[in-house]
Amino acid sequence: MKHYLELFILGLPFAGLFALLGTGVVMIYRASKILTLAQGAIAMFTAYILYQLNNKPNGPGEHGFGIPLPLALPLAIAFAGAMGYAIERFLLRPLRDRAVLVSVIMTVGILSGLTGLAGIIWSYDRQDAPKLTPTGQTHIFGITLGYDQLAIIAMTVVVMLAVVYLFKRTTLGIAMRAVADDRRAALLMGIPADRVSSLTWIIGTILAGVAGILLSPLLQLQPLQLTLISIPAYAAVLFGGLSNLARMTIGAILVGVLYSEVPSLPVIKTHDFPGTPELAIFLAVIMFMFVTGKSTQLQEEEI
Amino acid sequence: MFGRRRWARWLLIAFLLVLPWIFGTDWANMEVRAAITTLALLSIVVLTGWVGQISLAQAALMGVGAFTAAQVTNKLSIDYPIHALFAGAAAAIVATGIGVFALRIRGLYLAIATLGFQWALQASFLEWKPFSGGFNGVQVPLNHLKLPCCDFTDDRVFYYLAWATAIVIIMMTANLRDSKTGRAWFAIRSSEVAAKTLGINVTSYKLLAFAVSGFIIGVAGSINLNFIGTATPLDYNFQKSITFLAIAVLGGIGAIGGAIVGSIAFVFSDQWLFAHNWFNGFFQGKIDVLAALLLIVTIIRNPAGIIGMREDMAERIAKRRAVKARRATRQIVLPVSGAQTPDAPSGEPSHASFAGQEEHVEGEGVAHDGTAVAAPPDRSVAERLASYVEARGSREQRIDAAPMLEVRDVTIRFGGVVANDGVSYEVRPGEICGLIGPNGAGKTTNFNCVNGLLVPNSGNVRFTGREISSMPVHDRAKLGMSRTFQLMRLFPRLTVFENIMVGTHLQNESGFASHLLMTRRSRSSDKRNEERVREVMSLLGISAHADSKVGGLPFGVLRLVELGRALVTQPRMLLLDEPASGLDVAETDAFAEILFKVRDEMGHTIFIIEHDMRLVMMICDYIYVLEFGRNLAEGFPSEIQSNPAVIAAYLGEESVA
Repeated sequence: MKHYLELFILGLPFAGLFALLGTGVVMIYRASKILTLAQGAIAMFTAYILYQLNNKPNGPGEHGFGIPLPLALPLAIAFAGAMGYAIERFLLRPLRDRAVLVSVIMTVGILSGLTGLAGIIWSYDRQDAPKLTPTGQTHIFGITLGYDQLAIIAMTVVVMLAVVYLFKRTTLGIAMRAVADDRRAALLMGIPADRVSSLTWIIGTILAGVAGILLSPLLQLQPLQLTLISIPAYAAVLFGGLSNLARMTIGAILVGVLYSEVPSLPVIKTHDFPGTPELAIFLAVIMFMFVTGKSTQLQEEEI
Repeated sequence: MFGRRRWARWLLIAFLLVLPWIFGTDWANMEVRAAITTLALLSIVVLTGWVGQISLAQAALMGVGAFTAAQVTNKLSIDYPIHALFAGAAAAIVATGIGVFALRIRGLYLAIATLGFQWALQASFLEWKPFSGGFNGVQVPLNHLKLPCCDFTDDRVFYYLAWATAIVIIMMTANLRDSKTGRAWFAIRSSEVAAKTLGINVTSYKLLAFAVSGFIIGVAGSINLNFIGTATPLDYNFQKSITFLAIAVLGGIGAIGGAIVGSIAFVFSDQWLFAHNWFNGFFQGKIDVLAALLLIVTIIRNPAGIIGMREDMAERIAKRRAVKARRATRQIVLPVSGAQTPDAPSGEPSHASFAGQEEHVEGEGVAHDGTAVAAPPDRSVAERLASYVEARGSREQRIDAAPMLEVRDVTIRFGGVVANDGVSYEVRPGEICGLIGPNGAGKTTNFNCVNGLLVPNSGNVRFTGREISSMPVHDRAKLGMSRTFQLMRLFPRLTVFENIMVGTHLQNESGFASHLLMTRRSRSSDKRNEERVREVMSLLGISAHADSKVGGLPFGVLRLVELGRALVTQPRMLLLDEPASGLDVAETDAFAEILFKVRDEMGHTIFIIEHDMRLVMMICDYIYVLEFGRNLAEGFPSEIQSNPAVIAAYLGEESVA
């Protein structure tokens, strides 16, 4: 039993990352009815930007400007926000009157473009990402957790609380919900809908950037891998029905825990049934969707 | 549907035949890749372009095909042309499995779900070694490819074999597009609800689309296997799915030509970038990135893709000409324009269309003139209508026959709101029966329940003596029930003719195989139905609009198109939901006359919800009134008009009863 508890806690950092990524997706969906699949790519790209800013090149062929971390970190996060602004302003705003799936395909293009761009600039080889937290670990309830993992959990809790506060208590949050519900009505009420959309994207991509920066020391920098790690976050988003933040968070925790537990469940020997964690996560969520019959009313829309 | 450009086919085939002899084997190799990519894109055109189902798992499905083909080759020693069938079948089965989820998970959710499938399948490939050989994949001996007839060591032979396969599949897919199956798919893409009411079984046609798409990409996988001699999991990863989608959109996601153009452009530019050593080979192998960037530009600039540019150009030229012409006329018209303005903007187009229609009804067959000036309501219409009404006015008894539609104690709740509370009524054959009531009385809710879009919480619905309360919508259509919608649900990207043609679905008994091969059975069915569609169009007076897309047509015409689409299903009963809303007086009169004709000449029973009391009182034989979800009154038009409870309900007074 203790083993599973351990795995549960070890799943939490993943859960946190998925929640961070998922929150961005949900926010953007709530404010602009756009499903962005580029969240993972933005996380990856931001992590690379930090690497580029912070890394001290030790020889030819290595990248980096050698800017100290306290300065590089805000710069990288600002970059993530700028990406969000540019994506919304120049790539998605022109598509506003088109079918919803068109903008999804657009975000797929952004995903593919950013991954490829990262490959061109930094190559597809693995790199070590800058460490944000001191190396070391601590014991909680007899379970060993690294500082980096703790940082992710803490960061997630802070961010989630902030987002809930933003949505429920601030004028901006209410404006975001209004714009999502009925853009024209919101405009008539004097809400600057364009600015609200921009702002949502900026916040959403910053969340993704933060997730990427926190995640990269745990794994390593690699364009494809860092992008793909975001896919389970989409299972959580699916679980939350695209717009329910609380359910998305629960979904993220479930997905994160499943991710760490499934490989060691006695029923399924993963070596005989490969790809089980991935399959299990998505099948679970998809079955859930199927049974509850949750579906967006998109059937009347066109590609 | 897209215009049958047969010459384009033959040109392509001729080009492909001579290609390797002109350019040598290097190009033949590349062209094999183009054949594979074409099929991959074709699978996306079918699924996403035609049926509107997005899939981000196409590369994984291709992998299923490739690994299946490899296993079949190695274990059963069955070689290329045959094992492609196994590969296609395996991928089709997996794709259908994904399709089952797509029945409930739609739109954006489906995008995520298929992303998940891609991810999960890709993980399985990497680790399920007996099937995929793990990271290093499976090899097939290429010398296996020796057939008695030919030696596959020459690249050219495989080139021909690959393209032969591709062309057979392309042609069959084109056949499907032009058949009943294709029309059903297009209908589902635009509006599942409308498709159902026309008798299309949305579930099976959607699954069919997934299966067809899966088969196509599975075959592509098997060709790819035989081309490179090995299949590895990394060949079929997420990145590839995205690249396929990107090139499909680039080429044009709605057309077969888009798949061909897209793939050839992609493969050639890839090769071209490899061949040139620009910027120290900076661009070599970067085609994915370029494709992504081009995709982004395409979506914003030219959503129809490369293949759509031609039409786009034609349209733009036409528009420029029109603007020029307008400018020229404006200079002349300007001085008197003030006198014309009052009713020109809204009144003119719809009036004009109905003027054309009336001419048609009178049998003079005068060509429709879109620029006709607004005419006063035609006297003869009013006279003819009066005679219809008179004929009915003498009748003070309902038609003596068993009811065609019987609604008993139907109750429908939405959460706490009771939309229908024990509603009962019956419609007798040959009647024009009306259902009226103030806004929010539950009329449309009740209609949806009769039609099958809603299942009542209690009570039952009987149609032609059969209990149908829980029968699916498309089966009710089969029994002879058809409807129109208050907010019209036409298929915006099809022409008027094609829209109505979709309605012939149930009149066409040819099967899938016959559509695939475009047999005589399928063609003669279509021909018969096309004639029927023309008849209906001329009855409604919309023949002049036959080839215009419904997108830009005036409202009055659209109402008629939707009516026509319902009529060609040859229903026993027509359900019309506020067909006259948005029509002006003249249009309403013309519509009323058409309804009389539909009943008297075509013999359809009509059940109508309508707010326009003038129309209701004019056409209905019998009327039911609902208020707050309950039966308020029933009777002949004259009775309803003088019923104090009905008057109170409409004027909002305290109940008189």
